[in-house]
Amino acid sequence: MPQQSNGLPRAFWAVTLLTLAAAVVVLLVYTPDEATMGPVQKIFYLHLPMAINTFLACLLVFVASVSYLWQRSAWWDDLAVAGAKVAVLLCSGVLITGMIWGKSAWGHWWTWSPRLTFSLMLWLLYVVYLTVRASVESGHRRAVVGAVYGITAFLDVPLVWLSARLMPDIHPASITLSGEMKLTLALWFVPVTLMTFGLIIARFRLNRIIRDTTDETQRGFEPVNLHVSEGIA
Amino acid sequence: MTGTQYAIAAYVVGLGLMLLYGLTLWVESRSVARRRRKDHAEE
Repeated sequence: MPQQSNGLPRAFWAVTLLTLAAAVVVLLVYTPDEATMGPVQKIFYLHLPMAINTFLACLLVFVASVSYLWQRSAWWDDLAVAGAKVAVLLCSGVLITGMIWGKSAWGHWWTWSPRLTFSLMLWLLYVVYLTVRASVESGHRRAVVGAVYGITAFLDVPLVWLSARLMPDIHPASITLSGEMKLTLALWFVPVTLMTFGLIIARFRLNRIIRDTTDETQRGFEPVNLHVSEGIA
Repeated sequence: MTGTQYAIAAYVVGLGLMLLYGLTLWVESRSVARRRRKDHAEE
């Protein structure tokens, strides 16, 4: 968690970790085991908030990409990259927790059901987003290519959301929960959403600092080169 | 493996990914801040 000059980020991370600790305690001592699946169903309280936050991170990439193409400000480009990195991280978590649940519930680590396939596609799309960006040298071109790609990649999000509802799928479209289970799920949304928000902001601030440093370095070279060439002349 | 062990594994991996990334950003921000201080001192 990045060190900041003011006290707010530290307080933010302290609150986030406290809510996470509270959510873990509630999960262990308060939440009942589901009747048919048993304790493995508890993976759901982490899996779903991570999935929803993946969609939010992808939405952020989409909004930042549209805004970049509209305003051509590097600020939006840095925000889009921060969103994409956290989207990949969260989507990895969703896939892994889902696979562990699947191994226990279905007896397989993976099955090519529509929702799982579209979820894997989502992960691949944002991994490729970051790879494509890294392969373009020009900063302006990288931002434009990234923005166009970021808008296109978002089209997979509604497919992930709708796939289990519109197509026959082994992945449940919805799960019936008791009152205690609903409360646990609501509680788990708090630390996962705070962590997502905090990681995006931290990555974004780092992107801004790195960009400013690079710009300063590039600005700093110009007069030196001019001075040297003048001296030689 | 039992259901409880699967659940523990999922939470360790899921939360571990997020916390590890947070730690990576923290280390990177310290490294960037140190580099900037060094650059300014050299100027």
